Amino acid sequence: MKFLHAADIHLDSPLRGLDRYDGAPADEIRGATRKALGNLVSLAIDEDIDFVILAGDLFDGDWTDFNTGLFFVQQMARLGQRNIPVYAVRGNHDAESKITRKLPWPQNVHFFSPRKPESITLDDLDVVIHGQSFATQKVIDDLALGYPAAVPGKINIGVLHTSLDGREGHATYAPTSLSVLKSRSYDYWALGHVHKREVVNTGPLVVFPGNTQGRHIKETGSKGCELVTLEGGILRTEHRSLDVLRWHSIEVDVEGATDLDIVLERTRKALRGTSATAEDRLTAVRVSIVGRAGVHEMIATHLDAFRQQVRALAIEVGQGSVWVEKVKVTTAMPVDLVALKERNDPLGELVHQLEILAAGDRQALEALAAELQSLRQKLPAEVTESGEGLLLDDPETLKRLCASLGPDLLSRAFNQGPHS
Amino acid sequence: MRISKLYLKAFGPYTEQVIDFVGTDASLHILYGPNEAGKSSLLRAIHALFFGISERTQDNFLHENAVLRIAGIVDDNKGHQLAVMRRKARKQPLREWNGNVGTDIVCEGEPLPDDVMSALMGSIGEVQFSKLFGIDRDELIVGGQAILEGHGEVGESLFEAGAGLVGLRRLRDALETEADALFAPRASKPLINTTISEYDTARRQAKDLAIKTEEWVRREEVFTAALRQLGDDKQNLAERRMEREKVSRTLRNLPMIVRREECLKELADLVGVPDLPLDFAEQRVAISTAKASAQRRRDDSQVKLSGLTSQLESIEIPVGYIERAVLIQGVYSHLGAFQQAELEIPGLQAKYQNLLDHARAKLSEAGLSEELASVEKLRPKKAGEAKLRSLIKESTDYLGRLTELRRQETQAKLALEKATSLLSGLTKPRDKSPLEQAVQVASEHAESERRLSELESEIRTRMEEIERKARNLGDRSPIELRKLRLPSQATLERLQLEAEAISSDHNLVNSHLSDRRVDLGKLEAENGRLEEGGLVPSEAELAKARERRDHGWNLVRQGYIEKTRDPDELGASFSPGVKLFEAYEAAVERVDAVADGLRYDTKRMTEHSLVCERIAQLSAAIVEGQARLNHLAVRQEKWQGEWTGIKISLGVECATVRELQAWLTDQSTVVASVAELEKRQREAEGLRSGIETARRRLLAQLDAYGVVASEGESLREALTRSRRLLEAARREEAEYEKAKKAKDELELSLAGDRERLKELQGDFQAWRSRWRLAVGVIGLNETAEPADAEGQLSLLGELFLVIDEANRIGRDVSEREATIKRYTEEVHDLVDALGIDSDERSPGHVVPELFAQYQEAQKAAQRRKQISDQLEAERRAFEQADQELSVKSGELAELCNVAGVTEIAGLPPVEVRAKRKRELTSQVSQVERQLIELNSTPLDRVLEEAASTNRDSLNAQLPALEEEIKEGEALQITLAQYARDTEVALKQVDGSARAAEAAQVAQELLARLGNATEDYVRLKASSFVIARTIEAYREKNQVPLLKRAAEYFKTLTLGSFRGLEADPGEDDREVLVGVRANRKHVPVGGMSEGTRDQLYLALRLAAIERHLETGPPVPVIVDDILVQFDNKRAKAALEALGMLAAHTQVLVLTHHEHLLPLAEQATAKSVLAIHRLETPSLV
Repeated sequence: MKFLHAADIHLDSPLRGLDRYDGAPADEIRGATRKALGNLVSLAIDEDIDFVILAGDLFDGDWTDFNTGLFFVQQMARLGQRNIPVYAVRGNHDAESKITRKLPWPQNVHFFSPRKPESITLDDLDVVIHGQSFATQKVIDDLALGYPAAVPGKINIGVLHTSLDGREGHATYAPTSLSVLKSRSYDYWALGHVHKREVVNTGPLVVFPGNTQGRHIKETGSKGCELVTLEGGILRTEHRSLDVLRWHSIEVDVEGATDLDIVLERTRKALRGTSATAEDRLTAVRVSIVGRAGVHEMIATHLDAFRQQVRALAIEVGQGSVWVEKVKVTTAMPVDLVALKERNDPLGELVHQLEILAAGDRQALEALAAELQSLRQKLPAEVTESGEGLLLDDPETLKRLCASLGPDLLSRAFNQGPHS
Repeated sequence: MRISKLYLKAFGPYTEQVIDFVGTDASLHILYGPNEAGKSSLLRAIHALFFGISERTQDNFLHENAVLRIAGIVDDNKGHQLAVMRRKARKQPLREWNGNVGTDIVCEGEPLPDDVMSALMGSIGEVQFSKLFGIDRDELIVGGQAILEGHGEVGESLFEAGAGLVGLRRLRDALETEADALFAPRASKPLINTTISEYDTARRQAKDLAIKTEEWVRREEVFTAALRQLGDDKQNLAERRMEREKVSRTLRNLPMIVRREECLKELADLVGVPDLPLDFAEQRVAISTAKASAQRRRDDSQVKLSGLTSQLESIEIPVGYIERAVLIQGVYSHLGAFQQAELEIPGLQAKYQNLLDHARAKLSEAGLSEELASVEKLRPKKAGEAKLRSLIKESTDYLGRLTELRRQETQAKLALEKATSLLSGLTKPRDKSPLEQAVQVASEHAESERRLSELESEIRTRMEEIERKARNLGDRSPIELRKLRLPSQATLERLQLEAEAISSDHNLVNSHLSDRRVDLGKLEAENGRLEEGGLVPSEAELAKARERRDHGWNLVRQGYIEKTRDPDELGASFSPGVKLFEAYEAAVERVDAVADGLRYDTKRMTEHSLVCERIAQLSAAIVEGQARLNHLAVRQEKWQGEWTGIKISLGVECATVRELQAWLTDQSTVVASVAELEKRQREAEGLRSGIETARRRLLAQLDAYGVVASEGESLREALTRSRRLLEAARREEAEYEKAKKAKDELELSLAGDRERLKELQGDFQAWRSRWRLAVGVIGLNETAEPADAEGQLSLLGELFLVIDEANRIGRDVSEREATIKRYTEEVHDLVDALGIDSDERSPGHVVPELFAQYQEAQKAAQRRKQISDQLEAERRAFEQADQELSVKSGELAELCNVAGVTEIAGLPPVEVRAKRKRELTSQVSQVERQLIELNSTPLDRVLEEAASTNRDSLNAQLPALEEEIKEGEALQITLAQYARDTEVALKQVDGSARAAEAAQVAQELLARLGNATEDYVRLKASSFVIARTIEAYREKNQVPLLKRAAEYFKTLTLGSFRGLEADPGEDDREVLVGVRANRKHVPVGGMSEGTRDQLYLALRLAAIERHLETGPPVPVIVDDILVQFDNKRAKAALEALGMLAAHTQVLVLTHHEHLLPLAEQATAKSVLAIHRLETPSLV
């Protein structure tokens, strides 16, 4: 007996943070979540599995295109043609989604009831699957408490969309605890909601399979589903990759580098490493350049050119399969800012002023916020809500920004004048 | 920090150039380079000394990278000096400089930390050093320009001059320009603006492309409704078409239906008329005719019957002949045979008598007395005759065989006698196997005799060899050698290695020690040389002196100030013989002297301390070497003890371990050879004993055989003799066995012959008894010979041939007489039966008459039969005609019955009415068939349909229906199109990803927007920070800076301006103005270019001065700023620099010689020092 356990498919949810540039694999990433779903179905067929479990969040809750739902239905129908049933619960997103409710689901797809836990017995496999869907988006009760006790002599599988006892970056829904799950004496808990794969417990198996396709830089690494197999009366699970585009965050330490070529060489090496671990997939890479180095000045004063160079490197290394999501330069000058500040000269003053702002001087930050107001009014809300530190009227955001300005500003200042 | 000495050992055009800044109190140093290149190289050399030689230096054209060197001595701010030498290297670029100068002299010492020079600058990096503490001509020009551009804005000007970051305004402008390129509130081109608009478009597109769930549900409902409507309309149209069909069908059927109705009406009148068959009339006529014919034939037949009956009665037949026809015909046919027999009888009787006479004659010839009637018993039987003949033949056989057997017996008896006598002449052989076994064993050992002799020879050779070798190993017997206790190979190997190690260590340590001693000698000489020049001060000495001074001061205080103790007493303890205060003064002087020595005699001190340290190091090394030598001696002694012990235990005298190892190898060879020899000896002994045992056993056997043996006979000889003996014994045995076998065979053969003879005699006796019986039967006795028996047999044969012929003739006569009697009785019986009187006449007369009478009777009977047959036929014809007549009458009666009439005459009218009825019925069914065929429907439905319509309005209905159908068809097309349209709309929602792709594009634009926003914010924030910094700096420094700058400005302008002030300008900003001697304010725009440069310089010098107030002193390097100045102004500038030199070391680099006298005029001698650099070689 073997089955697939997937969750958080978020079909047609766009990939975020990818600024398109010439040479970026824009066409290739199109429909990544769809391809990942297709990969799931193909895997199910190739592995000749007995059934598929979907532990919630098939679509983004606020996504309204019915086409997305129909595509999902088409894929489920592929499974139906092979007589592979699908057992699904609705998660918080699905409960919000109108699409889920109106879709003409094929016969092989079964959604668990949202009113109370439901148990389905698969006689030929000696399997019982227990599950309950979300009735509303915000379920704050411990649903697991209502699940029935295990049926003796059968393989018992619990399907639940839950944040468990809390996971960073995930809202609290249907909270429960490992001890509650264990108390049901099930053989396998197929969980959903948390986008990072986690085998929470091994006896019994309590597993978050993670989402099927990473969608932004915080969802790094391999994404896919669980292939669960019954061997000698014991369930084993292994992760199978389904993702089309893989996210990576690499840090290039350029400590001590005095030459741009060294920086680029180290970056090239880091990119190669990424490319090698991507299993022939497209990759989206965030390149963070860190360390104290003389070359900082060169990068800081020609930041745009440097970004272009990193992108060119990515094109060269990845041969069109790598997308540089962002080049983040947080290098520092090999200058002792503390000592500099002590000096009673203009540079000391400059460092002092930066420090005032970085310390969160209210008046100063408000003045800066005022400078940015015209932009703020024009920007779409999504930019400032994207969580990337662009809340332009937020003193904390501006404080952090000013704290990072020093090296760049000094570099620029020194490069002015007759000696430059 | 000050530079004390610069040593351009190899850099740029310079070789071995020394610039000494010490030896003068001056702080303003004019460094005169002979040309531009020399001056620029000098500037780079100073930078290089502090911050390193640039990776891609241009100063390696004369000296290669590897030999580039700049050295310097600098005073830190705490009274220490640092002497360093810098080279171009990635690792350890800095080393101590021992102060030596010269090409072939060691100048460099131990490596120094990389940052030892830059640390002197505090937090200032190279760039900052050149910006803050370097002033050049370009900066002046740009600085002056910048002040003009900024309209003399106070904050900016102060900031720029203070930081040397000329062009701050430009930086801010650049930041703002970059920011504007990203975003402008009211523009559309900048990146952020365009991206926002693109993002809005993409988002809208995603929204437009998205099909909402409600929309899909609606489309599905519309499609379903359209399909339903289309279906309804289609059904309605079909109904109209069916209606039209019905009307036109009814119109077509109507004439036939009317015709049918008329026929049915007429038929109703003919109810009751019987349905007669189609040929009813013809039947009636045929039956009537047949009836009349039958009547006629009946009457004729009746007449014929009466005629034939009368004919029959007239015929008569004679009685009894016909019944006996067979008897009569039989008698008539045998008449000839009767007559034949009567003729033959007399001849046959005579022949019989003749034969009887002949037989009697033969009987007597055979000598037999029997009558003819009893002679039959002598007739010989066939089996008896054959047996007799066989016995005759057997008698001959028996006689022949008896004779032969007797002859054989006699011969065998003779041969046996001969063989018995031969055997008795031979002796019986005896058992020889014990001898054979002894020979076998002896043969095996005879082979060993050769091997034994070989072995004995080998043993002799080996023994000699071993003894020879043993003699070579110290004249000892092999046995002694074997008993020695030997050291292991590993022990010897260890001893050898240890000996080598001790020797090599000894050499090494000795060599090191002697090197160290030579070095020590040299250093001590050097130390002596250094100490000749007087006391060499050291830090330790200084500390010691200070301690003594402080102790002295303590005593002075107690003795003279506090007066708690007697100064003389204290003085005696402090320094005997000297007054306390004098001793204290001496201690103070000593401290000063040591301190001065430390300060001024740095080089000697450094060298001395280095030498002392080195001496200490070497002394320690020598002591350590000695210790190692001692240790080696102990090791050597231990080794020697072990070595001697081994040699004594072996009793061997060897010089080296290797020799002993060789000796041991030889010894082990001898020991091994002895073992091998002993093995051979044991083998030889074994062989000898085996051979002797075999020889004794063989001789014992020969003895037993009766052969005398000689005791000294060898195994081989005894063996040869034994083999010959065995060979003779084997031959005798074979001969005896052969004779015995021949005698046994002959005895067996004789016994066989006797047995067979006895058997044959028995058989012959049996034959005799059988012969007696056989001759008795043919009338002979037992003495008759076989030839007698054969003659008797032949005579008996002839007799019986005659008797048999006589008997056959007698039987023929009897048969003929019986035939005649039987025929006569038969004829008589027949005549009696017919009642005829034959008068005893012979059958030869009676039989022909009888046969004629019989033929007459037969003819009359035939005639009578003929007439009877005719009568019978005529009777049958009559009955047939009579029967037909009654049948036809019945048929006619049936026809009347069918037609329903009583009289035959009533039939024709009924026949006419029945025909009419049939015609009408046929017409009706024809019409009905047509209706069915035309409509392909059951008749009742056609009639029903016609009945349900209004026949009158049918014609009017048709056009109305046509119109309705036409409208219905048009509606179908419209509805089908509509259904297709709604279906397309529904199918458009096909799961496509277009909306998702548009959303993806929107996300990409959002990412771009995020990145651009971040960049924009950083730019704006940077600009913001600069503005704030300028303002803050101004606030803090404006008053003192302007005050000091005004003084410099006054000096620089030779009093043309008396000062500087800040006036309010536009936007509430303060701007710089120069104040003329007449208190007139001159804005920067109103100043000449040169004046603005001077203004900048004034601000710059004031800022450096202010900086030095809080930070450590750093040399200011002024690079040729005076070129464009006329002599007056240049002099003024040099004066101003002289003012700065009061605060820190100022180095002015120039290659303009005319400035040198100006400098001397402008500044006090104590301040100024001029250094002329040698013309560097450029070759």
